[in-house]
Amino acid sequence: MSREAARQIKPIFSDAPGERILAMGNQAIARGAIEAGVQLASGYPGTPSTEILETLIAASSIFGFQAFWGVNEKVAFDAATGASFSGARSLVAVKHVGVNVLSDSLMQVNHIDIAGGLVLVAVDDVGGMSSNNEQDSRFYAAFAEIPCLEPATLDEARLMVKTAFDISENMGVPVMVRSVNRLSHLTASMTLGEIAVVDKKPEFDSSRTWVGFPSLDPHRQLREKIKHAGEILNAYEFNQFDHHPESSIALIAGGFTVNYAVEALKILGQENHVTLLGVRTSNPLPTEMFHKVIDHTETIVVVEDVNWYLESAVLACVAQNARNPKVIGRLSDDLPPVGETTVENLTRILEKLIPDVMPRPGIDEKLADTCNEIRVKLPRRGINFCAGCPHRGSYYSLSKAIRSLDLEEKMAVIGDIGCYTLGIWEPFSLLKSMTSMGASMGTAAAISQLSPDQKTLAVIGDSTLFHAGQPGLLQIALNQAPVTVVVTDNRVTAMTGAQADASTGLDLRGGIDHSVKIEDLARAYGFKHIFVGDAYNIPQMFSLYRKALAIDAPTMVIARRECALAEQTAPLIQTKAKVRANKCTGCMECIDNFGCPALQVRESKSTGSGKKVFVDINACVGCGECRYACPDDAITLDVSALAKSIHENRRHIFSAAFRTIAKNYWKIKPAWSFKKKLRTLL
Amino acid sequence: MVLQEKITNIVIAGAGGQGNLFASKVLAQAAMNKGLQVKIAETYGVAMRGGSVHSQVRFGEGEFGPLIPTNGADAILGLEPLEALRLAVDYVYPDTMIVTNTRAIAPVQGKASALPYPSLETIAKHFQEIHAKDFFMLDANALAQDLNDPQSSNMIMVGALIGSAAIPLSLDEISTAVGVQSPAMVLQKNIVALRKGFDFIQSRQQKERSTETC
Ligand code: SF4
Ligand code: SF4
Repeated sequence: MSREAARQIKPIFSDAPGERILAMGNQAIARGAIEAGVQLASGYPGTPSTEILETLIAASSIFGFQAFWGVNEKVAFDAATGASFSGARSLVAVKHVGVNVLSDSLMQVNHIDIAGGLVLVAVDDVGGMSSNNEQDSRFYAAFAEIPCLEPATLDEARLMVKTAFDISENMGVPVMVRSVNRLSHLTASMTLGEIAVVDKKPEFDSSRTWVGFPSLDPHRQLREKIKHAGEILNAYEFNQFDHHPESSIALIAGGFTVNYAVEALKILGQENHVTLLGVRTSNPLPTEMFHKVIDHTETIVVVEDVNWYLESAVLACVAQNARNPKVIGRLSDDLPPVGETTVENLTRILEKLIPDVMPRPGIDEKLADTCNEIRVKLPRRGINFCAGCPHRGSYYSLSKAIRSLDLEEKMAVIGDIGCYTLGIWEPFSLLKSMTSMGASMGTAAAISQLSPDQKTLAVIGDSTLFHAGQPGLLQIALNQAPVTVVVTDNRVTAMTGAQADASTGLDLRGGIDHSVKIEDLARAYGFKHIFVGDAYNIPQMFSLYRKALAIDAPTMVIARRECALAEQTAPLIQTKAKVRANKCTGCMECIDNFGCPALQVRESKSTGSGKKVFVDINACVGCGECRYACPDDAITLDVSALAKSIHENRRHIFSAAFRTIAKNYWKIKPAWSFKKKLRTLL
Repeated sequence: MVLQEKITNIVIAGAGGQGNLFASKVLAQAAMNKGLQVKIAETYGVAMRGGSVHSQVRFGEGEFGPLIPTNGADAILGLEPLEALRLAVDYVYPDTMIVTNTRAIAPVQGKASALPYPSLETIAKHFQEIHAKDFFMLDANALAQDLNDPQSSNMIMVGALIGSAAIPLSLDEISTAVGVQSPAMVLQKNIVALRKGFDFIQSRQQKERSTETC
């Protein structure tokens, strides 16, 4: 594809230096890599970093470089290392917990004098909005003794990623660019820069060895490198210093939080009175500037997201300095120790510190009270599986199977990371634990062995199993631990927007390559009892779970069905569910225990509960799962909607997607024996 | 009271799949075309699985952060009435304009203990209690149905917001921005929808004005 054609697709790929476009932070990061002439990009999907690699994968065919999802972050980083050893520029983009996974490699590659620029983009999910934890990646940069840059705007993100490649090559170490959710998911205007033309062909340099052993000399070299990194970084003048030596108060803010500091000062009309040091070079830190701030202040407010990385460094400088200003921040508990920095918190602190300041205009107390009164009356809009999500069927049948075996009280159900994690909460409330990616396997193995009277079951998705679950799965087999492993195989990495994984079987250019069958994997590891079912087919799954739970050995149940989110793009014959009002008794089984968002309740005088269910046809995707969640057979699929949809999609009649879906529809038939069973289980 | 000079703060409230982000991009693009700084912040990730979807558009001159401070919205655009109210109680200040769609999307009914979805009258009453400027409620889905384009309710709402004159962007400016942000095949439909929402609010305002004078 020509570059002109690329421009037509997305302005972010446009070869028009100087043009201003509307872009997302993650796209700005990707653009920086494109401008730097990146030759290999990898990562693993994880909110809030996913769009970086998505953009680079889209760009790779246009600009002719390699970009692919790694099986996990470590594999991605190792691939980037290979590129660097071959003289090529490479980028790895991951969320904060991904840095944990790749850290084993990072902590050793830093001991090697690398060739091609290697940039690690770590995106911290501040406030843990889509994560299990909060974590500050800057400590990893300090830990690995590598340079770290922290952009505050989209233009800086683009430029710093671009520059990070130069710095990495100049110093021979990986460079971290740390972003945060608010930057990565910010959409704003940015200016495009020039795209480098790469004519160097990557080639592994076998004339030298790429090892960090024996490690003392390499470590000494690393120390020397980072010691002199300050001079290199200073030359770029990334740090912003609004110096007001007459002011007794100063703000030192790191990376993206500079935005909050600037806004708080503006709101209070202090932008030309209070010193502001906006730090962008997080490793090494600009300590000479810290001393300049300490020299004229009584109070220093340190602003940063997640931990107290900057604050502790400022305190260390104060300890060396003759003056002794008070340092206020997260460590001192003056700012909230966890969660995002907010303009509100900052203005509150500054109002106390700055004499005679006009406070931030707010609403009066009466209005605030009214707002509070209303707030508590509003129903929550909880998170839920999508309409048509196969996990709903997997969990509904599993909870009924557990109940039918009277195991509810005793079971240990161990969860893992993905959409299926929602099984922790209502309506299923099945999962009792969740830690890191793939951890369910080893955790369940131990529980099943320590407490053999307790039935142990672990739920893991396909992508998570490939990512880090495989070693634990092997452990279950090796220990002969009596765990029932349930694999919710929806053939993609669903939570982050349905990226292809090894179960999808798409190669990096989107062509069909090969798909790994999880049952083959388990068989190779030595699992003797493997059951494969269709997650939509609730009666089938119900009986498979019952069989599996009766076995006292490593057992696997695969609930396979494509993620509803991924299916939305395929040509789809769609029918809709229909509730036969005369049959609906208002028992609320499908609402309380199944919970598809397309099923809604209205008032009705004719039922005992005073309620009846109806289908929101705009939300319903016609998966048919709900038919099994009605003990009175009130829910059916609408045949006329089906006929209409087949007619509308007739030109796709020969397409593979159409055929598979059509085939599957006929497979699911109401199962009378299951309904009978269901009634006894209510 | 002017909260922040030269910055316009718009909160867009909705549930999943309502075209929240597209609406914010159109507003931002229009402001960017005028040479202003723009910022859009959005909810994401796990919050999107059926939860509230909430975005914020800020534009103006000079530097400002990504997030609208609490009680700092100039306008609240509701694509769904409950969500509009939910955000209104966080972002309202005495000059906030609220424009919301009346078409409710009920949250998935939890157990019997779940709080009931408030009626439209209750929501309107609450708006009255907390607002000081003005609010408009319209059935954008019905208007979209009139246009035979059920997907267009978000553009109708953007048109309504412009019609309310709460933010310094004109219908022409928005239409140009829609041209940049939409694929060619839906462009015309989007423009028609914008106009529909705009006219609806304008005619309603006119009616109110004429009843005031007599
Ligand atoms: S994205 Fe896929 S797996 Fe996740 S809730 Fe939706 S349908 Fe289910
Ligand atoms: S068929 Fe039933 S379960 Fe599937 S999306 Fe429609 S209402 Fe939900």
